[in-house]
Amino acid sequence: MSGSGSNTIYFTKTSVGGNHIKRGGACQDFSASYHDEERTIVTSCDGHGGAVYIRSERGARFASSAAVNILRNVDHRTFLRHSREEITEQIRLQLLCEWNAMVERDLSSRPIRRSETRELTDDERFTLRQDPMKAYGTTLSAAMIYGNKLVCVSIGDGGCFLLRKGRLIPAFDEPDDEQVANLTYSMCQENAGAHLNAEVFDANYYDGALLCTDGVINPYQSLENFERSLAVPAIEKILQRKETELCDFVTRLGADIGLGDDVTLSVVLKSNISQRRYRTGG
Amino acid sequence: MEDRKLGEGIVKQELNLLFVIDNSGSMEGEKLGAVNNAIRDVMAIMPEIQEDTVDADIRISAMTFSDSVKWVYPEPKTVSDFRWKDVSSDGGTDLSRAYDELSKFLCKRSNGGQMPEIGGVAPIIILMTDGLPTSYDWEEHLNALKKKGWFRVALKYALAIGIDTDEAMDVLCKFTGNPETVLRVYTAEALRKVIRVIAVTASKVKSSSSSVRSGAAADNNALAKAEIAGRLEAIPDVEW
Repeated sequence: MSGSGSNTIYFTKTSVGGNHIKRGGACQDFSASYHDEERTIVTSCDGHGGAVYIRSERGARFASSAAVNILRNVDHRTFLRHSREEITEQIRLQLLCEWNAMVERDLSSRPIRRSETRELTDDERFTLRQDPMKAYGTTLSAAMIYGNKLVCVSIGDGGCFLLRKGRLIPAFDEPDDEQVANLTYSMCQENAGAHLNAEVFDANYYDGALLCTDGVINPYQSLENFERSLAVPAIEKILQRKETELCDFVTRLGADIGLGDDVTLSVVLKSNISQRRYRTGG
Repeated sequence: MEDRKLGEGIVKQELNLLFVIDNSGSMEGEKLGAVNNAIRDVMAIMPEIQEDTVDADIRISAMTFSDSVKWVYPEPKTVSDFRWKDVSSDGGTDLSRAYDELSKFLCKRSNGGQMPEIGGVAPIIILMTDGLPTSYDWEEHLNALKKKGWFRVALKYALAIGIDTDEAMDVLCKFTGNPETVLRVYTAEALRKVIRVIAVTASKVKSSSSSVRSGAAADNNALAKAEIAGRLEAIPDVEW
């Protein structure tokens, strides 16, 4: 999905990973975009792949919807009446409440069936009985450009980056060594609030935001390599309006040339940024 | 800086293999001799394993611990660059320092460790010791080590060399978190074979294309453990 808002350009693409293609499994990533006259929102979510996360693709959809629902209600009055800290705190709490409410409604209308847990061990079944929300485990990253504000929200091991003059800057510091291999913070954990980051940035200083799931970033091993080999060439394609080529690449990255994981790349840019900063010469 | 096009820059995933070797005074002689021989054996086979995998870049590290801790090389080496240097014995068994060094190693490079910034395969850690730690606070240091994500997802084995007390076995079970990956080894020949089986099989399974590409560390570890268990059956003088 790509297009332009009043002062923005956006791109989102999710593609199934090679491992899921081989096993005939569902794509557990999800992304969405939303725009109206005032704002453009993009999301990138990665439903967990472990055995107990039997509804993680739904969890990812809910996380994406929750982010859009909450961010579309943030408007100029919010920025006038509240401090940055108050806004980010509100976004975090509302987002968690919204996702939890969506999951609870889903569980109540579609209780977990025995057929869904057939392949789980007794321990895993016990875990789900104790905490059925685990079935929906997912990461979430979202970004919104609203006037001169750039709002970013993120939980988990997906990438959430700000773009400035051809460089990629992590939107949030994750200094710990927690989120490695298949370990990640999740919307489904009890203390999700402690790990859900939200921040309001001054969009005058940034060109936009790039979000991705770990399937996109992990094959590059370092941020510097990711910036040079994926981020800058991807932004170049978007600015040149060659989104189809970028879509094809994301599809290949998931199915063929990456690590076999599902992949999502979402970008929101201000439409007046300098293309010169994102030129690869390729 | 050279420009890149989409599709360029995709790199192999790093797989770290770590040997953590007790070289306290009690390891002197046959035990340490067997460890030296075993690691040389392993290194003779590793080039073949590296050649067979296109998706993983195997990195090898070895640490010795007694009263102090020493890395054989200051940073992980590729299979072609790693040369084993025989270690000698001296001093007590300061497991606390060994755990602290492992904690430092298992951080991302930007945090002062040796693990990749992004991506990577859950490491393989093989701890070898013949006795109780002489550092009384080892459990405190183990708890700090357990806070590291890379440690929690690592495939961990402990080799109890000639150990027959429950107390010493308990120390090793706490390290691996699973009694099935603590092996009692009674002879030098068995030790040599066990090290080879674990290091070679785990590297092979975890560096295979399907393992690296699945991204599910826990599943890969289970696969490697099952394969290793099958091969250990054939080695006499080993219990687990």
